[in-house]
Amino acid sequence: MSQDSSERLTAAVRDAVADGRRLTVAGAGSKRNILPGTSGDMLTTMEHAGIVSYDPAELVITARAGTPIKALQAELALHNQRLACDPPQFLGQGTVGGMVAAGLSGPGRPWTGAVRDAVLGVVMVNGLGEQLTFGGQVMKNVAGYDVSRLMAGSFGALGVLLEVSLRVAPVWEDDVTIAFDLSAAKALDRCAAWRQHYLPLQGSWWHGGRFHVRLGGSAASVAAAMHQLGGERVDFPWDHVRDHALDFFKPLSASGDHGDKTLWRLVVPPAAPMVEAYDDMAVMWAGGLRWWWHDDEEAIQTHVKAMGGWAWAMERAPRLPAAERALMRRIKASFDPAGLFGSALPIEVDHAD
Amino acid sequence: MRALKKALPASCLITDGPGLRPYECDGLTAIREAPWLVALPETEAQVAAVLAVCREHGVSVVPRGAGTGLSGGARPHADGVVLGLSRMNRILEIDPANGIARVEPGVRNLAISEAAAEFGLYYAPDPSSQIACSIGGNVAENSGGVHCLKYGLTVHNVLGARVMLMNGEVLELGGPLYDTPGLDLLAVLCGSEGMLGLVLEVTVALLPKPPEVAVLLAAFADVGAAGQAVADIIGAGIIPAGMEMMDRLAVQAAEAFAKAGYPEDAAAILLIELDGSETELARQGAVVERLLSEGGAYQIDVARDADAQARLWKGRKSAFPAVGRIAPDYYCMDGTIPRHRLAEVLTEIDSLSEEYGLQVANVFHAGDGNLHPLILFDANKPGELERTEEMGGRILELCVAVGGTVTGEHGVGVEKLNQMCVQFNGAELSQFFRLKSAWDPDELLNPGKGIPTLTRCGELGGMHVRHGELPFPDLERF
Ligand SMILES: Cc1cc2nc3c(=O)[nH]c(=O)nc-3n(C[C@H](O)[C@H](O)[C@H](O)COP(=O)(O)OP(=O)(O)OC[C@H]3O[C@@H](n4cnc5c(N)ncnc54)[C@H](O)[C@@H]3O)c2cc1C
Repeated sequence: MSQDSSERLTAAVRDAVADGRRLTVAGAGSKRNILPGTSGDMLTTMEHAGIVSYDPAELVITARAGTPIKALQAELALHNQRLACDPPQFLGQGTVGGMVAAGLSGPGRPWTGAVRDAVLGVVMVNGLGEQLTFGGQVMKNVAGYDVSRLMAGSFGALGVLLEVSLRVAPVWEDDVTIAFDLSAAKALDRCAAWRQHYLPLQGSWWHGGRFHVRLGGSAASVAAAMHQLGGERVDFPWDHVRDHALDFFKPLSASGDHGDKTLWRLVVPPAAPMVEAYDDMAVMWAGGLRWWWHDDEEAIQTHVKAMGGWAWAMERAPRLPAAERALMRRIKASFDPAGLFGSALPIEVDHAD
Repeated sequence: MRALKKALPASCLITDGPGLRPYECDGLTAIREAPWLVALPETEAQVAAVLAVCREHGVSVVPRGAGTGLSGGARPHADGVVLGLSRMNRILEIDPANGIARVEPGVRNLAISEAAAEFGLYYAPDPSSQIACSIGGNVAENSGGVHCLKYGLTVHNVLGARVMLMNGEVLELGGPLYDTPGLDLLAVLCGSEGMLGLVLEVTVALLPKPPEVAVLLAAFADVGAAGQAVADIIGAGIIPAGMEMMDRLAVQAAEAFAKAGYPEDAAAILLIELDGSETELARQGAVVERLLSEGGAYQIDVARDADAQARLWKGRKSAFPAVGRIAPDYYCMDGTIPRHRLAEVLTEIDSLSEEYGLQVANVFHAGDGNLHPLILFDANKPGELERTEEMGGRILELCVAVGGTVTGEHGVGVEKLNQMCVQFNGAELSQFFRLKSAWDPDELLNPGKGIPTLTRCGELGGMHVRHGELPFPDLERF
């Protein structure tokens, strides 16, 4: 499963430059159904796989872009370590390159950080067919602009990721879920109060009047938190929340018929007031991420704007303020002057705002 | 100048000689230049007015916070404006429910934690300069502190920023939000050394204070053993809140200065801070103590009360001024290395020290591999500053050679431009310049900093060979 295809991938980009063809970079294609469509020949990094270096005591792992996240996790687990972020893995199908390019965060985001927080360095091919190295394999590095972190969430618009170095962390000694029967508003009140206490929180999920909280860390701190917070100890499939595999994410499911509604992802200040949307809503990130099945885009946009956040629906592009969008386009052009890479990055769409 | 006088009240402009003097340099005092003038706006509108005038007349702008930078990032240009943001220093909001503070760029780092203390919260990144340095400067440098091993650098603790581009456009990036749409502009802004945009407002994450803290001091007769102990602790799955190392010369200087109770006969000491609940601390402390003594520590002191802890940290936090007392001048380097190469790098620094006849004291953020060799010298001795700078350059090149970087937290500024030629090739540097152009096409914002021109690297090319290749094989002059 370990293979170095960096020269082949670089050559493929150079050929596309020469022929004036467009390319769409993909890993395993695990996120195809949540992203808007793109154009161009597929360039997949799948076979460019394998762990390049890993020294557990340095807390850094370097892997080729096509390495399955599952393989990476298995290697880390051998040394009692884990990723220092909590990205969706679509039940293990995703690749490390796709994970970084998408930059998505699972339920642990407020506590473990985003993918970009864990990125330390990249090797990439830009739209000129140049192989470039940014960042490195050390924890602190401010030499030059932080292009490695910019690659996180760039959806392949800036270039092909060949290799990624990531910060890793020790596994938790204990991993426990507690649950409460609470309205969403009450659950958010608790989250706001907990923000002032030193607690080993690692995830939260509210849906249908049930509030699940993940505690992870040293056995002593988890035990102390369970005592302090109360609730009922339960088993809960956090990886199904992370990978959108819970019934809630399915249009037609036991948790309700969402009919013609679209699933919106609302990023808001965590303590922003809660609307009671009952079965159509789920809340993560201690209030900072709210999923809402809704049929009226304008209503969503007005609502989220009033709360100081933004919204994104599956298979659609989020709106961006004009000045930001213009700057992102200029940045894209600085990496890819010919517009070689098609991508799901929401910078091409003009919105009125 | 007339245009600027119209745009700003007289109290916000400095145009005369003596008034300009404090702005000639930042914390890197060896490199000085008087600016043409200094503008100290108090409002965003005044910042916009200054930029408009500078745009119209093609005048360059050097942003400046508190001027504590150590790489010459805020060094002025003789024909340019220094735009000091220190007067925009209001704390706009402490919002405990969302766990954030919203502040203006001139707010001092420590002032945020002081303001948040009544809610049991604090802002985690704590550079040693935290009583003085500004949050705007911290964002621009992506500053770290002794607690960033566990709690992250500035980039990990900043959630939003209001940014003005050189063209006057204002961007509202992030906020009290855990995700942003499109490219992560905030990530590039962190560490951009004032070259991409002006930071006019920052939203930082506030964290709850840990209930209990313990600080351990361990003394070693051998630097390599101290380095191995650090690896053992992390290998055991413990991430201390802070883990610092000092070598013999640094220990002796700090002890003479701060009377922290450091064992002066040690080849190296480790300072380790653990935090968490009481039971957690007791268990972690026991593991750490065992690893330290198995790893060869001949003395271990544990400070449990706040006074004893403050005393142990005082030695470390005053290490720079302490070294300043044992030599007329010192020059602070800032490389990062993979930790397992530490012993090798220190041996190599020893031989450079002998070769140049200059003493070096090493202070090391041991947990994250960030090494600060302090070269002791006397600027009044002819040629000694030049020898120091040359030796410093070689230390940084050594850091790159072992797989590290030329700067962990102090930035490139004007100081490390030559070493950037060693770390990056021509295509990478060109990519940096194109990225800069996307933000500031007319190159008016802090020009000449951070990224060396290809010509500069070309001229150094004979000396600096990366991966056995000439840095710029494509450039015609080769
Ligand atoms: C004794 C001492 C100890 C130190 N310890 C540490 C340490 O432990 N860790 C560490 O990381 N650093 C440390 N430093 C370095 C320094 O304090 C940091 O780099 C700090 O972040 C600089 O902040 P400042 O406000 O002084 O910025 P300045 O020095 O004024 O400026 C630094 C850079 O930021 C830019 N800038 C400033 N404000 C803005 C703004 N609002 N918008 C855009 N650009 C801006 C400037 O153009 C310049 O390039 C230390 C310095 C000293 C003197």
